[in-house]
Amino acid sequence: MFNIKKGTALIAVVVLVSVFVYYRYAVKILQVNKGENTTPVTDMLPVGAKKVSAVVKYMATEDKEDELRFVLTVDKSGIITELATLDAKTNEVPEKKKDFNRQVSVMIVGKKLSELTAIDNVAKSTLTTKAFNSVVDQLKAQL
Amino acid sequence: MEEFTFTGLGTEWSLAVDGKQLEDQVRKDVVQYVQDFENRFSRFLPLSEVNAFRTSPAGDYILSQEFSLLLARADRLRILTNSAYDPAVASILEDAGYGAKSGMEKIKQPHIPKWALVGNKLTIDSPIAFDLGGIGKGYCIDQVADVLKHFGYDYYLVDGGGDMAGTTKADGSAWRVAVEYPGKPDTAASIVHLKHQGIAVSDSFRRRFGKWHHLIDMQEKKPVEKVIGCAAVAQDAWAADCMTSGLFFAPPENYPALAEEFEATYIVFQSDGTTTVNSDWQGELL
Repeated sequence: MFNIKKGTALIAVVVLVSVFVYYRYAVKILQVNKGENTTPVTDMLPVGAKKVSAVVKYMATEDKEDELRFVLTVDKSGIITELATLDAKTNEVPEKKKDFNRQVSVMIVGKKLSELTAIDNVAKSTLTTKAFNSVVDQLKAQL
Repeated sequence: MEEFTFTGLGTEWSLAVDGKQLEDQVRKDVVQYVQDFENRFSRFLPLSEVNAFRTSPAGDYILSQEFSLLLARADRLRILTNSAYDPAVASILEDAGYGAKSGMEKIKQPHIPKWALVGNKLTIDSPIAFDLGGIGKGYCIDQVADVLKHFGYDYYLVDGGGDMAGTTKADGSAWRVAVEYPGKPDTAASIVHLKHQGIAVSDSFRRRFGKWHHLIDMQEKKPVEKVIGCAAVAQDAWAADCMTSGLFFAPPENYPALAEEFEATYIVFQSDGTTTVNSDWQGELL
């Protein structure tokens, strides 16, 4: 008798937890997925947190339209804790976006401009402006 | 290949066009556009739009479409740099002695003015002046490029004080542009093959006054020290110009977000001698 009660209680607990999880997360996930332009959200979120998404269409080139999906994770206070940008068609991070996230440290020694051949122009910081030159004396006087 | 040089926005400009002669009317229109842009957006000119609120009380004001566009981009950059970049820097620069012209009303308030932009409505909490340095010139370069396009020029390289926008040469090849090493005007750090793109370079060696330079961190209230120079390539000169400003002011962890925002690749030269290069950088490193 005791064993039956214990088993029943265990089953009841499992059912209760399942119902809680279902209503807490799965319903939201299903709701999020209802929209035509929404992202499947499969990960578990902290209590009160939620994910929302939106699709933005833009002309990548004159004749090519791209779609990006922005997925925001917000905590229970409504503060954005995560922002993901996905390709709306594949739901994966576009290759181009991955590249934006990679950087490396390098050693650049540089090379004399006079040693370079076939250079059309040199990109450089703006030369001292006339406006600045006009106030240099005033600046020096204050230093 | 034909080249035309002139002075505008306080710096040297050059237009290189390939495959077609540069007409006089085009030269005139380009020079006129840059002059108009300077008149409207130079912090050094008392009647410019960026100085229009120098004595204005707190309130809402309607901006011109172009000023709204520029300030909206500045606002975006302000967010991406955790407010280290802020065009309201004008008052700090003036306090430091840079740019306060005789005859121009000085901004008098004990704090850095706050501002917000919604559409073309500007809200300010006190008198304010804006400095569009770091984003304005790139925009102007693209507009000059549009003038060339309007007149039917397809192959050009527009250079506005060292930042550029270019299509290709008439044979379809890219423009070979050397990137100056920060603080070493005779040395190149990289060579970029520019093709329907913009490039911008910024360093803290130019426009210095004493221990100060013009790139002021609005949170620290002093010049940026960690970065000594940077270069960026993007789809146009405006995006590249904004990217270099962002790289100067933003913490390194924000660089990917900046690169995504402006679809740019970049090199950053830090003051500790290290150099960071975005892995998508397509230029040759020297």
